[in-house]
Amino acid sequence: MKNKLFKDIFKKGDILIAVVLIVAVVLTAVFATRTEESFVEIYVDGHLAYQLDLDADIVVDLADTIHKIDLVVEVKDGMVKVTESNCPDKLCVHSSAVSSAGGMIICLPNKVVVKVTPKEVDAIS
Amino acid sequence: MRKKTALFIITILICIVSLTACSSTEQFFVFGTFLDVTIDGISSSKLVGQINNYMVGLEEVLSPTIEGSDLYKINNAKAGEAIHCGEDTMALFAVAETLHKLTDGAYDPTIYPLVRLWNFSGDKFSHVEGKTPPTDDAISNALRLVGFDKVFAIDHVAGTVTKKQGYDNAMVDFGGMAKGYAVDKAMDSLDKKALINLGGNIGAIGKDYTIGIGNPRESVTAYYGSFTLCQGQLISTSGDYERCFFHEGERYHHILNPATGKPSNSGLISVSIVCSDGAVGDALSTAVMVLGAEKGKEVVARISSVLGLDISAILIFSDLSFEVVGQIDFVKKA
Ligand SMILES: [Zn+2]
Repeated sequence: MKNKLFKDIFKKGDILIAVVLIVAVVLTAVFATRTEESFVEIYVDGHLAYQLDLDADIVVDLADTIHKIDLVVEVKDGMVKVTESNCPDKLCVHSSAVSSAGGMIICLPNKVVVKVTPKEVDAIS
Repeated sequence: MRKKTALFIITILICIVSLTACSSTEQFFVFGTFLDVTIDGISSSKLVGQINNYMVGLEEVLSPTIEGSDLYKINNAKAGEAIHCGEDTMALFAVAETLHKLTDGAYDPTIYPLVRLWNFSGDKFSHVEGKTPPTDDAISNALRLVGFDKVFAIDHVAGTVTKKQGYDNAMVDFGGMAKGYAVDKAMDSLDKKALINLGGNIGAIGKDYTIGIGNPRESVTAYYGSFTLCQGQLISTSGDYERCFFHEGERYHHILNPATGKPSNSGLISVSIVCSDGAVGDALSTAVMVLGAEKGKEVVARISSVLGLDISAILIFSDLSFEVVGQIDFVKKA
């Protein structure tokens, strides 16, 4: 009986809408409250290849995952830097380490960008 | 009824998509640097791709190292040979003429032979140790080819650029202007809220953004200070810390003084220019580095009034103090 009443009030489509709405609310909540920690993003040829936590020490060798790019990124004590690279100019290896204050290390020959976007600014000139 | 429900679900799905993917950032490599575009809205990744394609197209016309580009043809031409150029190239020659005059020659794109001599050009620069500056003889030889007004004859009606007699080996590069120009042009094609960043040449569209000025001396790449870049405005920064090398304890950087053929030594180590014209801002940041604070401020005022542009500047001195020119809310980072 109860079931019939329920069916009378809500049509099939309405239930679907309700489900979709709930999903929408949950997703919005998740994205709105996403914690704003400092992330290191490593882009290879324009695509995001890694997202690392700046507060967790790690060494990432891109050669492990990407053929021909022998570039090592190290996260240590809240700073990220490029420690090794097979590029000819070594500009990336000589770039300063980047902290949560933000900045970028670029290796043009390998098309690799290591980026920390600070929370306070949208970009750095 | 079914149709209506389906429509409603689609609407909600679109809402979810726009909520979760409301901002898209993508990076590309063009003009020897990276292009970073952030656009609000759902069709953004397509637009980002379009901007990148547009800039790649511009680079193919303006890069002196891409065979067949307008600048490649000009640089490899003999004196007296008129080279027909595209609209963008001629537009940049026009801006260069104006700025060369108004900066008393501090902005001079014909300095390119010296940029190559110093190995500061994009295709030559590297961070390999043991670099030495060129000899004074080599510098004065290359300096003979520098001088925008004496080297080129520019015909805006015919759309041609011709090397004058005696200057077969002269070369031009709009490296100090093309990136600002490219961002400016890309901004015109967008009606969304967006931030375009081409290697530090940044343009704000439809919204104000907070922009950091790179720290010229810190060992950690933090920013020096920040300000609000209002919509429709662009910022360009030139500094002695970008492309440089050290020899016997001295810093040699890529901002060359067209008068001496050597790195600028004006007391300024970073200059940021904020205005609504990308090409002018980009070129002016270089010129003010060369001119120094006093002369630089005069030139900024002169260009403001002649071109009817609102120009602001952030100057950073070698003792890491700073000065703000114009109406921007720049605050040094604590
Ligand atoms: Zn590299």
